[in-house]
Amino acid sequence: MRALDFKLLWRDWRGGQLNLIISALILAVMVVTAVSLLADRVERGLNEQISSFLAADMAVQGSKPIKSVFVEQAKQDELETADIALFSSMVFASDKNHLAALKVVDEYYPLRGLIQVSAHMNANEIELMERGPTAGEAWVEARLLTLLDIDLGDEVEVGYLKLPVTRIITNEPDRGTGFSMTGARLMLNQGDLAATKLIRPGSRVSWRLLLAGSDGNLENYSSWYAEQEQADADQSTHFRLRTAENSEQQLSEALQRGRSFLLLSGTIGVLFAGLAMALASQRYAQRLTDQVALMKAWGQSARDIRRSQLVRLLILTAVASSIGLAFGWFAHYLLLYAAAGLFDAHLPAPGWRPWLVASATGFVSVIGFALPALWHLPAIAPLRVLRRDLPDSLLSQGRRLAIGVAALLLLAWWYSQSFTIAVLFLSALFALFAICGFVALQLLRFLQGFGSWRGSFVRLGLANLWRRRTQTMIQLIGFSVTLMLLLVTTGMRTSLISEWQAQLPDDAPTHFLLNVSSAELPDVKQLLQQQNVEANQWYPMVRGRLVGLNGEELSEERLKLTDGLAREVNFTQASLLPDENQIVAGEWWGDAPNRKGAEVAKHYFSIEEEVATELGVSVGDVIEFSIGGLPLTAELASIRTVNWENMQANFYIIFSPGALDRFAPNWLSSVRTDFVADQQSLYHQQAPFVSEVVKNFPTALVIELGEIIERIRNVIERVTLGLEMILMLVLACGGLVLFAAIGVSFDERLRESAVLRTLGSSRKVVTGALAVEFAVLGAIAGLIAGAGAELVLYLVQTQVFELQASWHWNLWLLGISVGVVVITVLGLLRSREIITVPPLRSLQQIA
Amino acid sequence: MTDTILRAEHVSKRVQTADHELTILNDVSLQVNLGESLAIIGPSGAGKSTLLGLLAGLDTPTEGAIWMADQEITAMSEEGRAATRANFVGFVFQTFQLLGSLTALENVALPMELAGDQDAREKAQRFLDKVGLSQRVGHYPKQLSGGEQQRVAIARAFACQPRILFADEPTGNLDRATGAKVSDLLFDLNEQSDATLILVTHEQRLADRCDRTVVIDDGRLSLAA
Repeated sequence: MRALDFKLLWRDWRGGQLNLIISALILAVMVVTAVSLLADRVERGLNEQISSFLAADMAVQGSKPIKSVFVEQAKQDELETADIALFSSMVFASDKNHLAALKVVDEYYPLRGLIQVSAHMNANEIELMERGPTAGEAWVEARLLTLLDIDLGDEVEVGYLKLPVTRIITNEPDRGTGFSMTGARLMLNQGDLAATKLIRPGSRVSWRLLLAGSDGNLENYSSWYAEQEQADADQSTHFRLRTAENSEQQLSEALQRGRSFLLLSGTIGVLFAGLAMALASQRYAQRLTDQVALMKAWGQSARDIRRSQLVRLLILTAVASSIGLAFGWFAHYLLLYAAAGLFDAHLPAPGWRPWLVASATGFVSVIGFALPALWHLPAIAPLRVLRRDLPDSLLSQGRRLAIGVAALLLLAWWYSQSFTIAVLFLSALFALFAICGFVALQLLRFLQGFGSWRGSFVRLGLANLWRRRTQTMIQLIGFSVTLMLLLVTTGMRTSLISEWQAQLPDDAPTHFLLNVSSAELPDVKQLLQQQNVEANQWYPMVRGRLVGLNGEELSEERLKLTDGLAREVNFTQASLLPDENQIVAGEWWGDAPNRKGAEVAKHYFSIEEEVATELGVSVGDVIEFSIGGLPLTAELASIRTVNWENMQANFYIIFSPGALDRFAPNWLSSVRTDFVADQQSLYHQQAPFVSEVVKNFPTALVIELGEIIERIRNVIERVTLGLEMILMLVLACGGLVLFAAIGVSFDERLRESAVLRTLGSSRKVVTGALAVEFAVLGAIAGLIAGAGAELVLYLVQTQVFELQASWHWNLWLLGISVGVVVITVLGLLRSREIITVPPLRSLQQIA
Repeated sequence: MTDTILRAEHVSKRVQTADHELTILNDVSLQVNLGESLAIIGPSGAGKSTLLGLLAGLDTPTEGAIWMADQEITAMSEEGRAATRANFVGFVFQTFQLLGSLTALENVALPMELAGDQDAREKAQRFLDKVGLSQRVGHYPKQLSGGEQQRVAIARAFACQPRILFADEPTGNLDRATGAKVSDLLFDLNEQSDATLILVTHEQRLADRCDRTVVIDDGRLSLAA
């Protein structure tokens, strides 16, 4: 690396020849940095959260006490361990009692995460504890104090043991994501367990061995566990290894998909940046041709020239990539800002991978897009200094295209970690390009004929578009695809949100009330009435699972084919078909359950369409259920669709009235109150009826929905906003393509304009022709983008959301106006020299 | 070493066109002595520039041999010829061939910088002074007139102190008065430098200022009348 290389590079930069290549490179690296930093940090954050859902890295969970081999193996694999047990039990204080959710912990719990507690009644001054309660004390959820009407420091009876309550638990690391149906938490130390005498043979206890350690050791343990499981039937029946992945598998998969999706959307940016880079490099190469020929005439060898060129490219890539990394770092904060509130936790610092991915993107882009256009330079004949007509052995367009596509494929492969996805993604993208290109060509052809009878500069502008149609097409494809993606996200954001709003009418529920016993139900109803709270239909609810079909056992494999029925689910019974449910097969029973006048004990049920298909059942099939260990047989009477998005209580399976009576169901309803919480308030305010319900019916649970709905709405808005930000960067890459494409024809345009003006055309005509050319280009791009976005939205509306399709004229308008304005402004900006430089100077300059 | 700096023997150049072989130079032999100035004149398309390219080692003949300072450049590889050019040769072109992104000073300094000359900028400054452009060192080619551009090109050619200077129609792109000034400069500097000058031109006036003139017509060389 010589000082002269830096000097040459600096002069090229100063001469403005590298602006586009550098900008494109910076943008490409910036897009990828921002996207991968975001994805990496979110992923780390969620993984951290997931492992703290377990309060460990992994856990063995069993319905029987943990086997000693599990612990021994953990010791052997150098894993930290902690024992916990979870079960429900009544706890007492004076005359009050509550069915509490007990958690018995040892002195090592939790292995991951912290327990948030407070020593104050109003739960302020939160302390973060690395360990649970010691022997002789109990920590409880604030709710329990209210339920038992006691204060901190008072004693609570747990089985045969009395324990003082010393802390209020405000959060525990393995509370889980779902809503627990169980009672208020009481946490006690393992040392106290025996004295409570609560655990007897047959007690329903969930035993857990928490495990934490290095990835390698955890992997060893997992494989040992899997081997054991194969050999030991007892283990597979009663124990299960829970990892972050299988605990929150869906979340993890969504996360993986999310990262791939984000990075692939970044690939579009890289593609456009690459295209801009390739075009700009071609022009750069044209300019370098004379310089290289001169250098060779002066005696520089091809090897020296190649070396110098590679060194300069290397420096350029390193510098531009560094700038791109820095910009990307800032941009990822913008994305995080857009996504603010999506992640509760403070996100951990990113790893090295995003930086590596982004830097590699810079180098691969240069090798794939810039280098091929410059490769021929050292081979230029020195004789060119005398004979400029000598051919310049440029790599063929096909070869350059192939190298570019290979580079893209490599990047997409790396981003998605799947060759198939990369190939499919690029194929889809190129198919999209081909379609856009085809449409654009037809429109151009149509316009060309149209222009023949228009005013002089209009004709000139339209003729230019047609004459330079290769460049026109490149610009059109770049712009129409980017605009289309932007319009799609805009459309999704606006229409999805409005769909949500349409789905949530004024009388949407504000709370779910559940766990209300049959005995309590009339009193609860009365209380709600007194409090002016409107309740929707009350559903009795029991938990159970499917066990047999038409007299044969339903295998676990078959149940696993369904999304919802592989585990215990909630069943209900109803006489009326719930709102927004539609029968698609069979018929709904009337008020009389024995619709065919058959034997009195015959029960029927209705199943949701999707799981019916997954399970392969049809009307008339007889299914055996297990509810709390008791069997229930019922005949499938109808299959129905359910609108899951309506925020009402929805069920996969509904029985005919009376079927569930003997299973002591708890009741569930959604209610609506007009109480509006003050969002500004520091303390979370509850609707007044909530405390009344909790006080009077200690086992009932109230879940506030407003907050959840708001959160979902927020998620959609922020995700699309973030996506739009990425697409704006992609659009900027599209802008560079436009600049680069104009650059390719710049000298030709300069010459033509000079000739025109020498022949007496006014500046107005030249400007007018350029304006027409760019405006038409923008209009076509906008039109194609609008049509494409409309098609995508139509598919999303009808296929994904199953809504009525509607036109989005605003998007067409937006597409066309953005296309016209952006392209005309950028185009004229890039061409200002063509308009402003005196014709004689232009001619001299090109000569 | 003899007085002969450049020697061509039986040099022919033929190129294959679509349907036949075209002879551009036919059996040309030529000898140029050290410090001599030689004009090659002839009508357009006669093969003047082709001969210049071959003599300067920018191209290779179909037949024949060329020696530059006793080294047979026609027997060398392109890399070898490049090294020889670096040691002996300078150029002035009809189209000036200045690099648009470089200032006048940088244009003059570039070949010296490429050759690793530490004093490139000082020398460049000195030569720009010599061609009367000391006030324009920081100007870019597009800010200079045609005559000024060619003066920069001449400064660039002489600053490298070449043993042989090849000039291809150096006044071809200039008006008569400017052309006269530029050719004065070229010959003055040539005298000061003792370089051998080989000049291709179709202007008799310019050829007359050289020590010797050869005429090329239809690929064949003859001495001027």
